[in-house]
Amino acid sequence: MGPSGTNDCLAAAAESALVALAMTGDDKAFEELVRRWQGAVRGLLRSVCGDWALADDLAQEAFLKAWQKLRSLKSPGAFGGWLRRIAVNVFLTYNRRGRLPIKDSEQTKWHATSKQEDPAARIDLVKALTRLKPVERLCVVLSYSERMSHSEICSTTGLPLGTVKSHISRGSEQLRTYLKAYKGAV
Amino acid sequence: MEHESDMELMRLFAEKGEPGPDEAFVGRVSRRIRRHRNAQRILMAVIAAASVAVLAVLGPWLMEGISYITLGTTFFARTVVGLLFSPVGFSVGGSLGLFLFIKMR
Repeated sequence: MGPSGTNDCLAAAAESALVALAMTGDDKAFEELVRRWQGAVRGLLRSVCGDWALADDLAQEAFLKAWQKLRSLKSPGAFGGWLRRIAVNVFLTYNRRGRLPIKDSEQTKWHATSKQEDPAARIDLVKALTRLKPVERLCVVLSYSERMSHSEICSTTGLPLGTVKSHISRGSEQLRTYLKAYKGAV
Repeated sequence: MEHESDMELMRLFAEKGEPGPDEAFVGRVSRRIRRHRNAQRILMAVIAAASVAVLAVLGPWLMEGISYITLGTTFFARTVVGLLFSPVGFSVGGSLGLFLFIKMR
């Protein structure tokens, strides 16, 4: 079987099989995992960073870390959640260095396979998100975009439950205020 | 009301979608992984070469040290065995055994 045949096989393979292969050191299998998960990881990091170039750098960092730690993954079926946790940790580590800006982002395009009906609302959400504090933004995104429960957010971010709840409550309230103000202005 | 605006936020997030397929990104990750693997290999080679060099320099002293320790241990063991099998060793061992036997009863 030639290289394109191998690639076709990998593209059709089940995720747990790819993870198992990648754990044995198969780079092509890991590349296929990157191909499948890059949208989710970059999307999550773009939402929480507000800076797309930075988000893509952090996404690369997250995939590199995942490749380094892949052998510590206990169950191949848990790859998605595990990868998301790594991406969140990469973001938190970057944020701890205090280099993450809170700003009104100029980036309003979203290269997406999106089924968006109202582009203004999408731009509006991206802008509104960048005005939240980074950790608040992270909790809101994990809750509303990734649909994680409060306890899942706790275990992913390492934040106490009370802090997670207050971040989500305060963050979503601010988000609603910004969105209302934006709709009023349009 | 709260619930409704929560649903509204969820709808907005769901509509936001995620970035589409990007082979350039996949390529960049693969290149970084390759670079990292090469760096690891070079590091391993440097560590191996350094270990060999250290061993070559310290080898003679190390062998000398080991031979002294072996000689010392042999001498000590021989002295202890010699003491144990002497009349003094027998009497001390016997007394100790008798003492323990009485203590245990």
